[in-house]
Amino acid sequence: MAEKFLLQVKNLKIALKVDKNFIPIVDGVNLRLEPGKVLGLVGESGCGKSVMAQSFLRLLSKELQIVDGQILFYGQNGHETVDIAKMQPKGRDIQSIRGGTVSMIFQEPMSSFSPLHTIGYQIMEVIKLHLNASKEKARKITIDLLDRVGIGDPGHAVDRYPYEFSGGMRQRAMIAKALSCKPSLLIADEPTTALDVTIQAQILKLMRDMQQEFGSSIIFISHDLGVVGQMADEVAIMYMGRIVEQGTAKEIFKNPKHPYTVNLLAAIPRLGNLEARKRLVPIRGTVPGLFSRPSGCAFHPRCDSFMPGVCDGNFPDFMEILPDHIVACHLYTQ
Amino acid sequence: MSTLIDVKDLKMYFPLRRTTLFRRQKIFLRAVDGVSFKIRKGETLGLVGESGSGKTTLGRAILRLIEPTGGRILFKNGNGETDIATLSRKALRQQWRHMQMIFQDPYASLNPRMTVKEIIGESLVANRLASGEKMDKQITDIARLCGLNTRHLGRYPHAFSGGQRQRIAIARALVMHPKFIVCDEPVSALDVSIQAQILNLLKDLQQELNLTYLFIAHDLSAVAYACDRVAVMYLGRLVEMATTEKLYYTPRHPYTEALMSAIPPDDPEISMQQVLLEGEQPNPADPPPGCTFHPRCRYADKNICAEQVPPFREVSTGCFVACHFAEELSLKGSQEQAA
Repeated sequence: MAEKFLLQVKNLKIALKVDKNFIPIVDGVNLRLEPGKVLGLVGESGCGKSVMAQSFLRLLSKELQIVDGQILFYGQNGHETVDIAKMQPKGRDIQSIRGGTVSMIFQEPMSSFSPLHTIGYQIMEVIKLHLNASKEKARKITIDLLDRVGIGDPGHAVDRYPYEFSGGMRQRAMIAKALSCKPSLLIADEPTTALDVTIQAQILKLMRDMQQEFGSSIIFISHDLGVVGQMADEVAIMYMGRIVEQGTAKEIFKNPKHPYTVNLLAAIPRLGNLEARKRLVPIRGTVPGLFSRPSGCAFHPRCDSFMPGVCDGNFPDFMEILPDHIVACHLYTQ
Repeated sequence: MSTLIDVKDLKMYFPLRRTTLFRRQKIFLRAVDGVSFKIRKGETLGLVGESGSGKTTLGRAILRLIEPTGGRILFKNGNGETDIATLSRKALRQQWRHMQMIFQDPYASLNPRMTVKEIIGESLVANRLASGEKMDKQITDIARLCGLNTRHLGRYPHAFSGGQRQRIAIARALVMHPKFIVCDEPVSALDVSIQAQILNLLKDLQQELNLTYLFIAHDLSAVAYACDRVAVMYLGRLVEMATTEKLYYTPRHPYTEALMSAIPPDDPEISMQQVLLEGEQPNPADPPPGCTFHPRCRYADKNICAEQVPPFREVSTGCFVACHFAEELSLKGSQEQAA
């Protein structure tokens, strides 16, 4: 065992540059991920979860800049530790990581493949680059991968174009591509949101099987709490660029502490007691715009436990309520 | 409870042209293939199915936003009964006052060049139902009922968030006091916390205004919460229809069972059961013979299921199933999966 962690994010800040102002999108995030673990990242749209995930591979567009913090990636098996936040977005260092030791699965299986090249070509491209394999060898590996992710007749599928694949098959091919170099970290950004429930169940099962086989860590981003509960060992809840609560999946679901987490869990329809047909408890109001970030704890205008003078003052510190369960809320800082 | 809408053998075929070596062939994509069901006054009927199963097409065909190929849509309004499928264009416009639609994407369904007031009031103007102060009052009343700030009615849609936009779309659908509303995926474009607001609003409005909904969605938990009865669609046909509790806890069709098994459980400690459904939905332009579900069905019988189309029949009171073996099979519901 070389290092305890695989990835450690320290005080990461990413800002959107508008004219000459910087609007914070990710506002001081700390994260740790152990090898072989699955971290679920939950939040509403616009909370910065995708931006943060993309920053781990330096895929951010020009307007989004990392203004502070570190993304430490601990190389396993004797590789040295690197700070991804310091790398040049188009430099050689990040390119050797991107798609190799860290790879990504995107939400839209329709738009994440190039329509001009065959599926096989696009997977082989990665293998040739990172594993220095010959064309024949890369093709063999690709066919084997397509077979493992459950695509029928992989010998022919390898020469097909993305339009010939259905959504579920494309997402399977995407998983094959992401796993082609046996990455130590896989970032899955809403991998099943565009899919139907039955296909979603198939893809989740495939990801779990593959994760066990390859031993990769996964950062699993989703807004669907049910899916995250199934996939993740640990869950982090994000709100307006900050992590507000983090703990084991069991703790977060059974014993949520932050009012936002509590409300989020109460707002989803559940199947357990259909007869009762309880009214859903929605969260008041909407997520504030990026330009009007509330002072202090960003959730305070929507929070039922709002304490005037405290919550709108400064951002609460993280408190460790139980080992491995941290929460940032003034209710627990006393 | 009396019936509001009685759909009989509704068909919606789209022509596809396919060229073979010698001749051009006309093939039909049977998006909706002989669907019959009733919607009762004041209830919410859910319609679920995978994408491409024809649920949106069915919803649109009932309102005749697209011309159905065949079948009857009886709309019982007051004492009279009108067949929507055969109405003239002019008479149909009159009927549309009583039946409205809410679309999936509130970012695409509102005209960006019209103010919210114009959007909500457009149908009143078009139908010459109100004008001047009377119209203003109707618009503000319905906007308030839908939870919109009435001082913001002069703004354009871009100034509103997704949830607010969906409220505008609901107000637009309700302004003529319709009886029946087709909600096509009304919450799937919204965030979780906003979804709950809109689902609650739809429920409140239903009680207040005595509305009947056809609720089309693919999110099975939202459907369970919103609907009294649920119908399941597969490749253009209904395979099961029952009360929400019966359908979720004691499904009678193997496809429904597979759908229920695919819902992630509420509790992270309970791991999901094995996936019951392999493969993907076949091409709707070339559906399998017999029961269209048989190639993916783990209970399928080679002889009967591959040859005969199972009729959509009532197996117990209020429970309709299209399966040859509905009586013999004992299937698992979502509750057993969780327990």
